Amino acid sequence: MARVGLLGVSKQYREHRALLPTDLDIADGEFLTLLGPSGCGKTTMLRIIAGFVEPSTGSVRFDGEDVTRVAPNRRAIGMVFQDYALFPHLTIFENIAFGLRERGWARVKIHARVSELLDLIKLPAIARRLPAEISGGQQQRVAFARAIAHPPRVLLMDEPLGALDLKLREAMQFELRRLQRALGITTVYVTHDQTEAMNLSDRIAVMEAGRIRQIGLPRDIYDRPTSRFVAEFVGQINLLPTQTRGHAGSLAIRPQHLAIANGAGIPEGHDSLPARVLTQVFTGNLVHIQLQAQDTLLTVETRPSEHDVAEGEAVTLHWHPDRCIVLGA
Amino acid sequence: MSALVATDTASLPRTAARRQMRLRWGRLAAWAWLGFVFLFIYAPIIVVIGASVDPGHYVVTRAFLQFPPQGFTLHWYVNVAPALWASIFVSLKLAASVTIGAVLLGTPAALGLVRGTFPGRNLVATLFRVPLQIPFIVTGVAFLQAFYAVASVSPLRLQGSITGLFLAHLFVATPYVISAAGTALAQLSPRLDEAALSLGASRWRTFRRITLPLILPGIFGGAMFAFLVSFTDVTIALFLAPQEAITFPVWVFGSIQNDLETSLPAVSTMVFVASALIVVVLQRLVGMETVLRSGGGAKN
Amino acid sequence: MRAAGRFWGLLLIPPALFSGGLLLLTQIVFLSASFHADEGLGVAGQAFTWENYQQVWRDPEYLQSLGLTLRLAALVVLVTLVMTWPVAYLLSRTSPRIAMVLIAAIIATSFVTLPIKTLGMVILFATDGALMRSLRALGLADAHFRFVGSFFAVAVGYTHLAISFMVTMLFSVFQAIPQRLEEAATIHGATRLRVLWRVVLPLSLPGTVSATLVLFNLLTGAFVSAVLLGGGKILTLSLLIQRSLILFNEYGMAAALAGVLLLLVLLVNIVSVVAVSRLTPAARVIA
Repeated sequence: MARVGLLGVSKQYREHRALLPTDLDIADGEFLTLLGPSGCGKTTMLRIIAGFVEPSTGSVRFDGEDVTRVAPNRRAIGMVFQDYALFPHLTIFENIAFGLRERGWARVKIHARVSELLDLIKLPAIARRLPAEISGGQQQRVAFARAIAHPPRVLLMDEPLGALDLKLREAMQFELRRLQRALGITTVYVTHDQTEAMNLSDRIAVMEAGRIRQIGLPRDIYDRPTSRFVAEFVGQINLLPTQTRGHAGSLAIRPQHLAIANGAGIPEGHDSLPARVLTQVFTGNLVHIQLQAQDTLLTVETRPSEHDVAEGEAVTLHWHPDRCIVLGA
Repeated sequence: MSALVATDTASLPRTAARRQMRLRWGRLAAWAWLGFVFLFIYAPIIVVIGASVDPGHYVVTRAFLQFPPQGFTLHWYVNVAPALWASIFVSLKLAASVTIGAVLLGTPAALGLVRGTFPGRNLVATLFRVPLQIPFIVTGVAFLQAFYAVASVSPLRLQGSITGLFLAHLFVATPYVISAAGTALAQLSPRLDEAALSLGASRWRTFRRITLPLILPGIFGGAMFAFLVSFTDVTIALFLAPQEAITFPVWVFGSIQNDLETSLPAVSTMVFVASALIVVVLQRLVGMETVLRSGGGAKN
Repeated sequence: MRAAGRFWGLLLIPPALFSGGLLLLTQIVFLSASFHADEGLGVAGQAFTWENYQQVWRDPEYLQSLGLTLRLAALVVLVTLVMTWPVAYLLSRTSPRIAMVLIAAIIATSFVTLPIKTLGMVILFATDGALMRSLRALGLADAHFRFVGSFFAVAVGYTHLAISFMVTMLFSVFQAIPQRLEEAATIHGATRLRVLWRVVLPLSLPGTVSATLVLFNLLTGAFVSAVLLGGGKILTLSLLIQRSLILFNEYGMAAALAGVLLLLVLLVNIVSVVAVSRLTPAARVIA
């Protein structure tokens, strides 16, 4: 278990700047997620920490020790890949035992450790099978077990749940979080799925075009985005273009903080805005109502019983000013 | 496109039935054609096998074998000229050496081509394909002349030597291994190597425990074609083989042209049976798809 | 990991040196030999001259041989295409297990060296053999027809060489065309023949053209069948090369003839690249 420190790390390819100089500090045992759209540099950063990519500038430190020039096989990392990268010609047992054999563990110790891990991931019976013979979800768990077999200083995961269906993904998210908490391994996780990021992380670093736009607790990222990009990327948001003292900007409000005025009128202190109803989308426990106001599309999220509006109806939206975030352009 | 769609719904059942009939006849015709082509391919071999058991009729002292065989005898199987066995032995040794050499040269080449990052990779890839695009007759001539040239400026006498022939065969056989191993390598995900490294394996251990086992079927396929090229080559061997140790194909070639050795069909049958067994074994070991990909790829 | 790329690249050095070195050595020596006149008894002239190549152009024997070689190759390519195209297609659309067995059977015949197969053909078509007697009785063969030494024999020999090669090559081409496309066309009401004509044919064209040209190259250089079945009467270019070198010791002439053959192969390769790139747009969509 180690602290990870990046100082001025950047990566420049011939025509393409993948990562701008970035500083990052990850605490021992912390679960940090790098969140962002494709091409934002999150995978590059992960691979720099792993050692598969050499940074153009800057240094990477584990517990203060400079590992920038150290080869990946000597960094004591664990890595879980998007396609799991299980060795197809080796059994599950041999897959998990691979790193242990490479590090010279005694056969008895290996056996004990692999059995322990198989129990941990709740798959004790598949030791003799080949990767092709088990399901995707099982492969994912084996990949995880293999990565932590020899306790790594840092665990790195590159969109490991991407190939699973929704239900399985949600279940795995809880499993991963539980295991990470129990083992206390410093983890860096890469994903483009913001729900996943919110579910798993101690902290989230939202990235765009090669740099970290905002880093903080999931709650802070969600409630207090500091830029339009982060506000739009994490959760749904409504953006109203405004002009403040000659500067163009946006007022940002989450759909669940907007309400449609009913017979009771607008509560004291709330701001308001007239709008016209376009459509309603029913999503099980919630309803999303789309409205148009001042050439902008807005979404209100609410429970189905609370509002009953008709298409084309003119209504008034209102919200508490505290819920409104002022952002730059 | 309207002609493709049956517009008369009332006649649909009849059209459908007629289509079924046409399909059935069509399929029958196609399989019959396949049968014909296979017959064409196997006819000479069947003839040779058949002739190998023909007692033969003698004209003066020379025996002629015919097909269909007029009787049955295993006489020719037992009385094989020692020179014939010797030539088979030469061919086997040569082909085996060429195969080993091709694998030792071709595997690193494939690794370099697929995994290397350097300018001019395409050029090098083309370079390795060229030996197979030059007609063997030209290769034979070129190598012979080159060996003479080398002999005139150095003590090396490669012309008419088994070493010289080995070099020429290695030259044309290596591309098969490169192509087959290259294809197998290209299909490996680079994540596998990275996974092994992340688990603490050194570059060499990763190669030995992960990469090599996974490309072995491809190498096998390429090796088989390398063996085949060397074992069956006539053209190049005609120019470069030593007089005292000619290869089996050259022996057969000469025998057909000059004095037909009557145990030839018998020996050929044995060679064919052995080859069929090898193919079966290989199919068990690495599967036919790999074999196909190895041979087909090299010719592109 | 950039160092890794360079490391792997280093591995190329021994094989590249071997292959490249031999390639350069042999091609340079033989091509330069073609530019020296033969002065008899295996001696080559000192001066650089185009004489040999000019002789190829002027001497009717050489031109005839070139024409014969090309005609033979073209004819056999055509026959082979007709024979193997349907077979390869059928195999690609059959269950993989059956297809693999059949293809394995074809590959097994490649292990049999060509002279042995030629032996089989010679025995089969022996003048007093059962086959020839029946053909004469049926009026299908002339009484004076001798298999060995006929154009027909060499063509048959070439076809043998070509078929195994072509079946495996075309099989790969057809395998690359997803069967779903044909199924879609059939659902729209197309007959089998129409599907073949409008879907399979266009998509298989680049691969077929490429394979055909490789085959053509193979046949222009084919040697064994011409010698063993040609009876000294069918003089292909490859035969003339061998004769010049082994029989007449005319190193210069042999090299020049080989050079002409090489030029032919090069031309065909260029045509192949151009043709395939022109034909590929449709197929590229599939890939």
